[in-house]
Amino acid sequence: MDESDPQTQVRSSEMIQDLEFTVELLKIYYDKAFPYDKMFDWLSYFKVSKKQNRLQSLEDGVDSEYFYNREFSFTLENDVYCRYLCFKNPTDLKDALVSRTPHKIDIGAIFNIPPKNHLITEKKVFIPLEKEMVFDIDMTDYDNVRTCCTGAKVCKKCWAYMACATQVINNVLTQDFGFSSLLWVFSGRRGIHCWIGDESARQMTNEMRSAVTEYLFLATGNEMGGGFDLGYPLHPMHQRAYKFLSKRFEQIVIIDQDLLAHEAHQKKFLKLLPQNVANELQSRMNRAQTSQEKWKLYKDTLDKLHASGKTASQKHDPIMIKLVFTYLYPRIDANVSKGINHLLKSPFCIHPKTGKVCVPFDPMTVDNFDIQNVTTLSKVINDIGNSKDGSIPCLKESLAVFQTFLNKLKADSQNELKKYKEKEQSTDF
Amino acid sequence: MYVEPPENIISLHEFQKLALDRLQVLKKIEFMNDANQDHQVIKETVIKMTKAHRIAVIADRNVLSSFSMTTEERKEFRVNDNISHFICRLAYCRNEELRKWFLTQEARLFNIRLQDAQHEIIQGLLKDQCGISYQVCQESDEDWQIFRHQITFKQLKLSDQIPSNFVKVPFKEAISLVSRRAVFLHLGVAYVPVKELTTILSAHFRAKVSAELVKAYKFWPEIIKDERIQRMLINLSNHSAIDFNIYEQKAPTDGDKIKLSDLDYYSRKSFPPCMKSLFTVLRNKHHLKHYGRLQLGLFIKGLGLTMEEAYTFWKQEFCKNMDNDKFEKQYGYNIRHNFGKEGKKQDYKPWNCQKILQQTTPGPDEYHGCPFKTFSEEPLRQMLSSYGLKPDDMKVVIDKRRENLHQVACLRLYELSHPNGVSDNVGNHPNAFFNSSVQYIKDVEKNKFKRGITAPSTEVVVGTAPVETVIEKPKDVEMDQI
Repeated sequence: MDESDPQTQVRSSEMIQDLEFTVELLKIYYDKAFPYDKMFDWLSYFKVSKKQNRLQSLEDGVDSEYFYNREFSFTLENDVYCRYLCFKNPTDLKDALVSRTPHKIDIGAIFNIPPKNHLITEKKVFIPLEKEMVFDIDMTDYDNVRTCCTGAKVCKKCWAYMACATQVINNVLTQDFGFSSLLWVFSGRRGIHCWIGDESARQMTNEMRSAVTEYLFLATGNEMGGGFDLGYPLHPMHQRAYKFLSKRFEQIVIIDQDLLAHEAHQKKFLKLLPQNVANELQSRMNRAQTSQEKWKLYKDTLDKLHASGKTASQKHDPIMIKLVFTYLYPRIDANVSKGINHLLKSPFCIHPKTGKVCVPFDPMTVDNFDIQNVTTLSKVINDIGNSKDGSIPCLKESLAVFQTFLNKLKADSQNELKKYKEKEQSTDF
Repeated sequence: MYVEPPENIISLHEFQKLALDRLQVLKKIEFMNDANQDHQVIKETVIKMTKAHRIAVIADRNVLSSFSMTTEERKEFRVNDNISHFICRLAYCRNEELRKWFLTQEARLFNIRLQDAQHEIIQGLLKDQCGISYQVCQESDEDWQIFRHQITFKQLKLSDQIPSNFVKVPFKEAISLVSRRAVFLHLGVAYVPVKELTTILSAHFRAKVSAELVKAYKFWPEIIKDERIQRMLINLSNHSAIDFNIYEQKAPTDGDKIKLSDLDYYSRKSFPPCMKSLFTVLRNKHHLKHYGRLQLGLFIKGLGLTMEEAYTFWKQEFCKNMDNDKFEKQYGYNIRHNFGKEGKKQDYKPWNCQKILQQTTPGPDEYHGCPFKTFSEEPLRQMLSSYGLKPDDMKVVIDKRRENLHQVACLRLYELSHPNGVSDNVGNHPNAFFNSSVQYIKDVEKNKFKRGITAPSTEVVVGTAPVETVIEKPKDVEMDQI
């Protein structure tokens, strides 16, 4: 979750020269630009308290219990961390954001009681009931396979890894698990988050979350290399991932990242081959000029191995599979996904180190996501200054993505309500 | 699946015995699983225990009939199984930790039972006990037509690739299969091979018992109105304080110095009850509270362990539950202090029996003091049986305890478990118990060697010696005066 370490802080501030991240600007952003109503629509899931209930309720102004029982946490300036905050309605949230101007907002679980009351009750009866299932992918987990940048830096080339991860995970979540309300968010610097908003996902126990996570997780990023086992026969989900990723392997790994120019990676490639083949190939590869020539030599060797027997009968070549999964399969931070109580940064935060807005994006067009030109705080402030009607052009696209997600949720909740009413009627008679 | 709670009327004694018998089985299962033993070996062991404890923890008809017993007996076994399960349920409903332990072991037991069951039986159980019948795939199903190769991806044999071999299960009910990627998933449905249904049933069993445990806890205030039952249930729930005869150790190699690695062996045969109980708890819970640490720590120091060894000893256990840093900070000082390296640098002596008897009554999670004083009779019997005492022998010891002659009781225990042994100051000092016992073991080994007996060393294990050889010279007179 936390992406800051002292080294990268220095580097990133050098990198972004036009950064203007000040408390004053952030205050204006929270006052004029943060999408409170949409955030409320999302986190209330359209479970709005009825008027008469509101009159009876002990606390005035609670628009949605579901929203009110949700934990928020703020990271203030100087890394002061406030947990168990909760808000009655959009205005309440706005007042808090404008007055406290947190550098980071995290969203946690929905509890059985308003989280701010957690100290009043006994620990045993303060229970997280629901939360979106979330995924977190961080570019630092790809550091051993990217040569273009390291640490906090990102460029279009390394984003290709993220784009692969997004599409594979998106596909698994929708096709295999049947989830349909997914919100993908750029985390502001070098990572991505995914929120699964489906009711059935929100209601999952920790065991179920773990199962979904394990299903997806492979220890591919492990430094020791080759530490993961795909199992045989290849799972259909892996077959699909392989089909998708293998098409991109050459462009990303060989051409863009130029990994075969690095001895460590060449060794990794060779290690997958039988010892005698590898030795012979190594000397030839060392003589080759470019990575692409090396890759051609490698591929030819694979083809020969294929033709010569053992692996020929198999549909997919296990060596190629291993390579593709090692370099391109999603590297998720499994712990974030497993716990119902894990907090994750809210969309539409501003990353203090980059000034970038944590914008939602469409997974279908993730390949075109321009990570170097993400809307920044200063752009938003600029738009606010030029705007006559309060609209903010530079956020328009991301808000539209967010709205699509909300429309889906709204439709789901209406369907749910309809079903519930029908059921009620049928039991009446 | 333990649906019907028993309505039998049983004596309190029987109540306790049945529960303890079941706990022995569960504890054994826990131990064998932790030791990564083979499924088949575990099953065989549990079958043996089924017979020994007269509880049908394995209810398989074939297994039961192999015991060649009457229909009546069979019925008794089954009834006992049910009763003991429900008693343990009560004893283990009190808090999350207990529930988790019980649930894990019961689920393991359940899986052992299902190991060789036909899938028709499993499907039947799912239907009858859980009211669930999953939809079986049909040749004409659209999903079968599209995904047949994916659905059958694990079935290499063509003959297994038929639709009726697969059922459609919501993925949330098949989470262990999902996390192992053992099934094909589509739109939230897991296509489960029928032979994997065991896993599903087992998950339902777990969920059900889990819910029942929570429910049982709601009646806890009602249950404990009878103080005897309350005490008994609380004792039963203390599974980590009871030694279940499951650690099998090899005799240490010769040499006078007691080594760290020998402690497990000696703890079984030569630790007096006051130390054995602490040692067992430490091994099980990886933690001891202050007075427990002091009592056991000084005793171990008295065995001749160096400070470094003692440090390793505590660290090994404690660090299973905490990181090194925390251990160093919170407990390092303590250990050095015991060895006179910190504070007022006093070289503390191991506690004698008197000192141990003077300790305050142990509170929750505390196990210090003299078991002959602090334990109730049933846990004490458990403790005694771990020294290999037979019921008749136990009576001798328990009788002394009833007269509040704690130290005499301890001496009797020593005498009964070390036939013809010399007891030098046993009953006055835990370390004397230890030293005498170690000497005894050595002598026995030596004699055997002299006589040229080639019997395996397990035969001379202290405590399993026949009762007849017990010396009958009463020593009460001297001891009573202490």
